[in-house]
Amino acid sequence: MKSFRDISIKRKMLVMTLVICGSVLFVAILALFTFQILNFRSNYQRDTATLAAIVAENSTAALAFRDAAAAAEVIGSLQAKPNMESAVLTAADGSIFAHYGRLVPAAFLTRYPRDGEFLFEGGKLLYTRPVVLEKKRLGTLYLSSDYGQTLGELLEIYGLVIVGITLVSVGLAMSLAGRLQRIIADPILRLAETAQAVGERSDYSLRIVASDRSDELGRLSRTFNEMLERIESQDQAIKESRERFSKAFDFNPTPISLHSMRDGAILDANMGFRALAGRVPMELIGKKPDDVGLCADMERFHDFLAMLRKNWPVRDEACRLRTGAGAIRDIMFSAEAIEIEGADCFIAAWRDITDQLVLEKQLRHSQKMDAVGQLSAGIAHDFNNLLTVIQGNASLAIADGQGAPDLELLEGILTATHSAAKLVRQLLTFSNKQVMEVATVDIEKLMASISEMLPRLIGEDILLKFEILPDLPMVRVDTIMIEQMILNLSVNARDAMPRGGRMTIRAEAVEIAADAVRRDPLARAGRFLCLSVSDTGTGIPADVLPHIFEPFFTTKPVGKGSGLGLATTYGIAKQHGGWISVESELGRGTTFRCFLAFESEDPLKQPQPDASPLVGNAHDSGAAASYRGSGPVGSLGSETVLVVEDEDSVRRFVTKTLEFHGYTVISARDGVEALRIWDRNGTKIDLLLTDVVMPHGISGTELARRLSEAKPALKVILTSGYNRELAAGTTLMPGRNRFIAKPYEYEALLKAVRSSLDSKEG
Amino acid sequence: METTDLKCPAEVAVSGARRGRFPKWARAFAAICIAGLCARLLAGDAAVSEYQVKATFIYNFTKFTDWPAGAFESPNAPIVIGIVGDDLFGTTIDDLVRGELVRNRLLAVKRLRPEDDLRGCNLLFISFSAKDRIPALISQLKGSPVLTVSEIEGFAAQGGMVNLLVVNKNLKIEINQAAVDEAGLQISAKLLRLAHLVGPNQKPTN
Repeated sequence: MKSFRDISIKRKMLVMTLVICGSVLFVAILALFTFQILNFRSNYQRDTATLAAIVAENSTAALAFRDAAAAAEVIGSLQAKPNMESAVLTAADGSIFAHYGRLVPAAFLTRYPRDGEFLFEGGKLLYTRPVVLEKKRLGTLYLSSDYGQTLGELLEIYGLVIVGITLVSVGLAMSLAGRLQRIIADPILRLAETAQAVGERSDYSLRIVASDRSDELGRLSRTFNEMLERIESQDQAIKESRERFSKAFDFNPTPISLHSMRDGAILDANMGFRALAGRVPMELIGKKPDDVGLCADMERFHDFLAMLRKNWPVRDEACRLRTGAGAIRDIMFSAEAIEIEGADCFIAAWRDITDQLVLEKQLRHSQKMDAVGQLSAGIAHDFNNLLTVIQGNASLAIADGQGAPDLELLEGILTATHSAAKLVRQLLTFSNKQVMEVATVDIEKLMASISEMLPRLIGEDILLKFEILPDLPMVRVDTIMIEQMILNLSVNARDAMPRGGRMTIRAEAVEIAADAVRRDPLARAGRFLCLSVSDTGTGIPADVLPHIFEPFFTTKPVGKGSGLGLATTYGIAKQHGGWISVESELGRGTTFRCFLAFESEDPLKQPQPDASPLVGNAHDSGAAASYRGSGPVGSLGSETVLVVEDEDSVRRFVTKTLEFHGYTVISARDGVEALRIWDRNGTKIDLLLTDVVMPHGISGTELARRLSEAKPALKVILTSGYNRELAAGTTLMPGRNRFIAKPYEYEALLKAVRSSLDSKEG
Repeated sequence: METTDLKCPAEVAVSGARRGRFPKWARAFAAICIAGLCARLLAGDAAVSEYQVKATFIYNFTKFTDWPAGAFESPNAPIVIGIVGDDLFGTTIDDLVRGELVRNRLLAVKRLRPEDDLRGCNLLFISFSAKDRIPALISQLKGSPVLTVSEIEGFAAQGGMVNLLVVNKNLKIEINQAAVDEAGLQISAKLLRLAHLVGPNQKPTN
């Protein structure tokens, strides 16, 4: 059963109205009826007396003239009052003159009260009234009336009236209350319903139906609506702000975690952090880093925690994190103490620098390789100058045929110089300074020619397999370099499988994605030809792997390997605008992959070899042998040649060679001297033969440019121990200038001079 | 004339027995005595005489009749009851009215000789013996505020006002309203209700 407090306002108001109405009405009716009943006796007495007076007055004549019938008639009129039980009229002598109703014996008349008095007895009112005419008593009227009946009737009527009035009033009160309560209760109910709906659904867009009432309820409704409006806009702002900041946290690419300062437990972790740690939120949230083994070096983390507790920010501190898979990542850790809702926390950013460290390491390695290459090139330059002298002098001695008692010895020298030159070529190739002959090649045909000679090289114990994928695009490469590269790798593979195994040479087109570049500093994104050589050999130990491309590094016994095989391979790949990568596992084997650009992108930006009158072909294997039978003797020309060469021995060799063959030679030690000579003898000079790299500020190309300007008909031959690219890259007129790579043989020199002088180019 | 005994309560005997002066038992005793006396009287042995009753009636008529203001010489002038003809009342009527006050006036009884002026009376009783003089008396009193009362059959028809007739041992009152009105008198409705109303041309019943 509900208590009154819990029932609805509507019902409460109804009940209150009814209670108030009912009680007021009840008290009013009760008071009225009490008054009525209190007055009843006196009223009744008065009524009876009045009636008696009338009857008595009207009986006077009848008594005076002794007309009993008339008296009976007068008294009989009392029947109009049903409560009049009986009436007796006596004459002056006391005899009963007339009566109405029950005949009262004369003796009983003594029970009546005295004249003009009333007697209530047994529910009856007895009244005695003298009948007087002209102050003379004619008789007496005795009245007896049943007031009890009247009272009962009265009470009955009152009861009915009370019930009737009460029913009508309650009905009226209910209907009025029903109408009136709406005025008050309806707005309150609407308010309550709306408030409930808002509370349950948190829907702040709800509004109470607008009320234009100006009373308190109207004001309350409007204030409530205004309040909802404010809450809605604030709620919206909070939602937006929350979303903004939660997304800024969650989608932040930097891995971020939020920790409790008390024990370091993780309160929240963004997507970046979860991805880095390789764990789902359940494994992180509420856990202490110690318990989930998040930190590979726990004491570092505790150091940071101690710092943060002292309110010292932590910035870019190195530490290591263990991922869910157990891998260790190098981290740059930064953190800041913050307070969130009164709780001490700190927010930490975990920057993963593992890949960066690897790249740095690789970059350092690559820089080291470049330095070594540079060194090699320098050595080769000086070495070539020396060889040119030896080679030239020896050739002259043989050609003269004078004072050369030991030709065999001279030939030995020549053979040695050839070997030395070959060594230098290998060094140059590694250092990316070798002269290339690039051609558009069908890789399938190239591999076919390699496959013919390889079996003889690697022996019968090894199963050789070629996997050449069809429809490979054409590549622009130096065929001989690529052959050399495959041969070098195959020899290494053979040596790695002393007891036989399987060797696979594979050619395929691959797509290098951008992210692969991050792992390998040498790599480039794009489409490449991948030539790979795999073996099932011993593999390369991890400590050896970083050094395999270094020149003169070898694991083979002394005398068995030059230490330049892989260095050369590395150089060839680089010179082709590609790179080389290696994968090796101890006991399982090694795979070298060489990536070369396809034809569409010209890797070297150099002129077609056939369009260039290149004389000094380093790969001309027949060059060493050709000088003997066809050595040119006597005058080849009479033109004047300006030879500029900083190296004295080379200058002397060139001067002697050219003078020997009829040319007039003017020599200069450097560019400055050459310009001086030009000022005096410029008009006579037909050809400029100059070294490219020279001291004192004026390079060979600069000299050539200036003199060509002064005399457009001047022919120019550039020469250098560095490769042609180096020399050509610095000239403004690549088409006009010829180039001879050092070391060159005298015959090649003569040939180049003659053809240059004979050319029609200006 | 013939005298008739009338049934009547023994008023004289009762008059002394006033209520309230005696205890209840005494009153009861008195009532029983009176009742016994009455029973004896009613048995006819002590019949009240006809003229005693007539005297009472005449006396009572003064109580139910209003005279015009000019009917009396002074405010204290008595109501004069004149008797014409043989006086059969004896002293009864004198005894009856002696000392009584009606409308603050005393009552006086005057026996009239034929030569006396009728106008000195307020109520004139014409007895049976003066039967023949009725027309003369009526005409003599015409226009005067004198209530004429008689005991003669056909009195009203001759212009008389109130007539007392004995019917079945009871006195019957006849009233000629027209004559009463003509004389400027007013008889109470209470009396009129008891009386038998007759007109000048009406034949009296019974």
